[in-house]
Amino acid sequence: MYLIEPSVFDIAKKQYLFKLKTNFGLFFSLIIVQMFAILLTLSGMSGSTSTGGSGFDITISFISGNIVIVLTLIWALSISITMTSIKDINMDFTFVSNRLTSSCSNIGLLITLSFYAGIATALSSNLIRILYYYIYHSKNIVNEGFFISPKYILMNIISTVLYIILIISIGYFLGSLFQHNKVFIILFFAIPFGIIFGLKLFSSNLNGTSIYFLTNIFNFYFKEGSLIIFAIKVLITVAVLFSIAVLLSKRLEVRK
Amino acid sequence: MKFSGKLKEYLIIAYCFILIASTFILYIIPKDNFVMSKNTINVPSSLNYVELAIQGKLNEANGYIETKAWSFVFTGERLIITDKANNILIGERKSIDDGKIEVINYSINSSYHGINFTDIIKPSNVTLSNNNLFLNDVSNPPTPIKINQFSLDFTLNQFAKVNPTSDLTDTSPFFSMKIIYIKIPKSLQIDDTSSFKSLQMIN
Repeated sequence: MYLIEPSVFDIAKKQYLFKLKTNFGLFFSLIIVQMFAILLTLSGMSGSTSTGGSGFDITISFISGNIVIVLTLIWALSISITMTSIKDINMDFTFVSNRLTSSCSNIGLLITLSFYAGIATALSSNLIRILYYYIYHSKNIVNEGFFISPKYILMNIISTVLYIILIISIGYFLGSLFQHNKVFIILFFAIPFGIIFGLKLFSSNLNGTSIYFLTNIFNFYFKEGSLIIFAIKVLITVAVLFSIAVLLSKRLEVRK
Repeated sequence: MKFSGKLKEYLIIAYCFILIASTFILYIIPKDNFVMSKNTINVPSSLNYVELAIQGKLNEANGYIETKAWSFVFTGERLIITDKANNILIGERKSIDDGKIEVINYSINSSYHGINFTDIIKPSNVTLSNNNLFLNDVSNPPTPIKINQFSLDFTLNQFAKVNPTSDLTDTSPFFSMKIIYIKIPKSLQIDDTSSFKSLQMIN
């Protein structure tokens, strides 16, 4: 019994600010990942096509910010899984807290990181364009596709943030699952192998059904042409995954 | 290499500044000198050069461009043609023995991935030495041309109603093909040793 009863929101906010400060290195690690991805893009790893004629060889390289996006998504998945590690959980006991405030502050931190990463990733696409312009000069760059309208830049920021939040929620959910029971770690790696090899061995029909199911899930998010509907789909998924993760963490022992 | 907390902070701020600045720079870059794609060029729908040559309309036909012409004085009775440039060879026998061999190089309008490359297709090098007419490529080894084409990130491509590069995949038929039109005196005998395509006489 205390004279001033702190609310869940106040504790979560304090924890969030503390974690933001102690996990400052995550922002830095993102920059390292993105710089590496930009260098890979500049080295011409995006794909190309070529043809020859009388007296010349033409090579057209296709450039985009896809390498930066993919590496950022991998970074997002790894940090969200490790956010539920024992080390991070034990750090919460420096505060008067419970599992709920700890999870809320974690989610708050992850969403902050998603916004930062999403904006940085979308804008890095412009940085790649500028670097190409100064390295290869305009006479070797196709006009179409080089200049992007502000509307498209804004759309890219929103969609990239949504993709990162989606991946982070999946990562956090998996991390909570792994903390809840280590068996899930084995299952996590075993299930894909089971789908690929096991079903192929036993039933071609079942394999077809599972591929059809996975394709449908893929199409549900990645083939959605409307940004608003995509945002609704992602936000509902994220809410469900974070809620399950919070429920799972509440069932953990007090301290191992 | 270990970065101190302050240095990390500065690097994060510098990176953010570079990203924001690059977005603004993108809008002040002059749009001149970029490679223009989506140029509508006349491309022949079928390879009807023989018919056009018979009708004498190769010069006027859409998509065929006369890039160079040569005239050689030749008094011999027998001419050997050696083509090392994989040209299409068309021959026309003149109605008189004027002692002149006239050679015209035609290029066909060519685009690759929507980009017009017709201008870089150089005419063949044509030389007459004794009774040998040699046709070679100008650039040997070939000149490398590197073009960079930006496409939308997949996170944007999914929602973009208009993709500026979606239709830049077409390659024109008869890409970089060249036609050598040779007018020879009436009674000159021809030996064609070209490896690619024989000389097609139109009369």
